[in-house]
Amino acid sequence: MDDYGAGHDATPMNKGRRQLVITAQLYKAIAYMSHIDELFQWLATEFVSSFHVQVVQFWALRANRMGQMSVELRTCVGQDPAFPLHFVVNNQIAATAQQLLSGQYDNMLRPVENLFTSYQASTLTRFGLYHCSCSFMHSGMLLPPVYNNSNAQLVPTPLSVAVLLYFRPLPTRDTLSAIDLILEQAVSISESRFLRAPGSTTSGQLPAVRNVPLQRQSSLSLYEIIPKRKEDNNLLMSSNPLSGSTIIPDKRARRFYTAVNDIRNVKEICEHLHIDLQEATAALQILVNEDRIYLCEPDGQLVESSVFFDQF
Amino acid sequence: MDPNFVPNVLSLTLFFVSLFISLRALYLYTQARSRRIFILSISMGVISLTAIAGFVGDNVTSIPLNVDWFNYIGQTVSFIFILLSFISGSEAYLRNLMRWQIAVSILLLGLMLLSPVLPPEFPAPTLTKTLLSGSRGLICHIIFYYYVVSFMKMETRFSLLMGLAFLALSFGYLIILPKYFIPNDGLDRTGDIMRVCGLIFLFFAVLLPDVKFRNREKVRSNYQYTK
Repeated sequence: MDDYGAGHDATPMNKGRRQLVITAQLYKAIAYMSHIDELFQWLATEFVSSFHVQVVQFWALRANRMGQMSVELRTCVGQDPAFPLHFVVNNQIAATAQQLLSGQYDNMLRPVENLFTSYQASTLTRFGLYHCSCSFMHSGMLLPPVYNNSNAQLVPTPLSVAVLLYFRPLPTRDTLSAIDLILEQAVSISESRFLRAPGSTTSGQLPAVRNVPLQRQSSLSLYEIIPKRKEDNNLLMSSNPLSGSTIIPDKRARRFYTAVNDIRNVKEICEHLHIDLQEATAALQILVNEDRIYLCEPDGQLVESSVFFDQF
Repeated sequence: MDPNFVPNVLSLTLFFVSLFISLRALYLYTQARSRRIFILSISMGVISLTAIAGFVGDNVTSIPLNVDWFNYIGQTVSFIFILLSFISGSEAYLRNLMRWQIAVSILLLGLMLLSPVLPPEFPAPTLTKTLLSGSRGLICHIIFYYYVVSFMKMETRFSLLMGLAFLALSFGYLIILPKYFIPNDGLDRTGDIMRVCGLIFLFFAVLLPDVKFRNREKVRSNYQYTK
């Protein structure tokens, strides 16, 4: 498992330019992302559309509190909506992904026969997926669990992701180099936005409010913090407001959200609703995780929300 | 054919589509507390009232009902509030907009209740009707452009269908303007049919789930496997 294929792109400049364009777009798009899974999905979608990859998968290592490791599919995007994804999302592929993540492999490109079991490979070739490349994203910083994952047994794990890309024609060296460069940039950005240094969290969840880079850890108590609403600007413009995706399922969180008016601080909201700080914290945590609100100091400065929630 | 057939179909379609959207949005507002959904709910509620008022006005002849005032002004104002809700997502702005909408809607209900006693004809009817009816078309056309921009950016089925809906509605309103100068049943019917088409697009836009056309992506996530 060593090197890329020997294909050569007729227009290497285009691939290089595309990589630069995607990297520039990534820096713009990242401002609107609140969780690393959104980044994975964005990258997968870009690879499918820009580099003619048939299917892109992000497999991540995860650990439970017992220290047992397993793999988890964080994102899978296919170019053809009619493609039956269960042929590429199954235990055999998962086993290969875990094998790749457990070994010390370099980025690679292989015919599928050389990477998967013969049965799996024949299934893939039946659907025209003849080649599979694997690129890795590694960091010593912690990857948060899947968004809204309620499994308390899972703990944040150092970032270790295998990006499997399935191709019909043999991809060029330039294509793969461009993808690897984009993934390197993505790891670098993730370290400052979505990943957390080991030992800095007990909750395993990252705060959802991430779209302003200059958040600071507040010295104030939660009582003095002002929660502010984040209105979904796409609602009614590009997303159906009647689809039900806007519902706040938790009744306490909904009640709390109703009282949020960008002026009241948490103490005033508690008085208004006749609730205690513990209830307010629970509601706030739900609303922050659902990306409905962000937290500010009285002077308007954004604050790091996880600091407050880790206390509880 | 009954001359009221096409206007009745339009009124009833408008009534049911806008009532459905209004009630669904109201329910979702209680569950999501989104101010933009509230504004949509009230706007569509007022539009549904204009539709049923128009239907009653067209079909009840025993008592004089001058519902055109409520019809034109109610629809124009409702579309304006939908348009204004696009302009900013700030909490203070949407909260103020909600308050204004509630106040204006109460005034509009008063206008509806006054239908039996309002003067049967507008002052300078040609000009007034052209302005009031044309303003609906203009507002719908501006909303259409908002959806075009949104579609160019996000390429969702929702913005496409909403764009088509407001395009049809705006042309439906604008095409009937000449009838205020020279009565023309043909234009009137064409306008009504276009508006019915617009309402059908609107209905499907809010009924169908969100789909993004860009990249024809199909996304699955969070499958978990343990070796």
